[in-house]
Amino acid sequence: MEQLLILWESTSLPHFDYKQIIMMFVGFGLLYLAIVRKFEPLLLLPIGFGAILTNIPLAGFSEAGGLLHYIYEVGVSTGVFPLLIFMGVGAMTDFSALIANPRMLLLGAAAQFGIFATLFGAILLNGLPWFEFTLQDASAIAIIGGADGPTAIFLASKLAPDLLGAIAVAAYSYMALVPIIQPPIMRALTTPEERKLPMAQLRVVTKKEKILFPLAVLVLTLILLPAATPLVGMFCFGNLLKECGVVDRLSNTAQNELINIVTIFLGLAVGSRLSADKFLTAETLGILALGAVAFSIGTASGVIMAKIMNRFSKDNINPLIGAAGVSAVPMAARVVNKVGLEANPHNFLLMHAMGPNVAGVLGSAVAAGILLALVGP
Amino acid sequence: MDTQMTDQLIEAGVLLAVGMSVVFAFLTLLIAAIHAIAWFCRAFPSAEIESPKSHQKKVSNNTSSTSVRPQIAAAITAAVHTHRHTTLRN
Repeated sequence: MEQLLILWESTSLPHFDYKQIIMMFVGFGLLYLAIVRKFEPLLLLPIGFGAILTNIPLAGFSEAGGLLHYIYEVGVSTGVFPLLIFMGVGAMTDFSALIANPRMLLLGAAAQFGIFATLFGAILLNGLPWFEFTLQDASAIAIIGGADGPTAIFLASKLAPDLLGAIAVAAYSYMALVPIIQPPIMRALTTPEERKLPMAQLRVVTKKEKILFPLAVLVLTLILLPAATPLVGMFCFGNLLKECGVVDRLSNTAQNELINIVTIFLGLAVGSRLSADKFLTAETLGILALGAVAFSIGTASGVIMAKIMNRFSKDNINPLIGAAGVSAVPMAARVVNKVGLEANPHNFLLMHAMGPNVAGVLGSAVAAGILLALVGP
Repeated sequence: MDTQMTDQLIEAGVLLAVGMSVVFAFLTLLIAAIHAIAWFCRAFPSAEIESPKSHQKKVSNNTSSTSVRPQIAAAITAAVHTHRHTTLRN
């Protein structure tokens, strides 16, 4: 009988807390979204699995000595993983559309309004008894509006490590929900005539311009905004690997093997932050709500900026492309293309939307640098 | 609304103003940088685009001197070849 009791004690069953069970369901929910609904599967799948692993009683995955604990400490709390991902994203990004039409950077800038406006929302939530966000927490939450996973994780690991799990899940969920969140906002802010506007074909960009571009971005950042250089620097490094054409092996590694390996570890590490005591709080609900607000405001401000630019520009600018200013590459640009095609079946906006789309990546990295410089530790 | 929240809201307002100004200023500078790069690339075209032009120029310059353009040389060779064939037959 005693042996049976010992055996019973060694199973998980007597040690389960109901909160851990809920978190495991959250993990399974993320797996469902990734596998069945194909929502950002590359990240939601490891995050979901990490969430299940970390909530197993007795296994101690996320306690000192556990695998996920070390992965988190090595890669996420140091900020290394998101930066390596950013390097890979840089190596996958083609800036041609932006270099051909540099004004699109203004759309990428306007869409960052969502980030800064959400700061107010986070602070106003403090009026309710369940919330107690500091300005650092608010900044880390607001960056969700940048719709850029690595940037959000990087900033959260520096400003609000306790909220990292919820912020990362919110950021990736909203990026996956771009096709659902953005179109109604885009339609509400534009007229059918505006959505039909065709745009002039982009000029051909030379290889030399593509090589000089990341170097120019790097020089500007290191002079004006050194706090953003970890993100922007790695991004530019990856992009230079791709564009210079003499280190194809390194470029291929950055955009394939390395980013894949890091994605696995980053996902698991983020999943390990989805423990019951950190995730099952009112703050998580607040973060999810604020993330949606940030994202929507960002989309709206991008579209409004594009409308303003269209009014003062001699060339047509279809206001829809402003919505792509919230990075989420390339999903946001595809959504713009789709909404544009609905209005005018001959109007392909994909390449035009890629300009603001990659500008949004730079914009959100710059915004993260500003927040880090102004409210950072 | 207590004073702490008011202070935080003011701070958020300052962040909004400073943040958006810096983002716009930075990206506007980047627009200028891209234009500068485009101008630079137009003024000093890269070697691989330049080489066929310079090659052509060299060839056209050389026509004034004793050397013969390859197309003309090929034509002359073909003509001589045909001429020899016809004279041999006759």
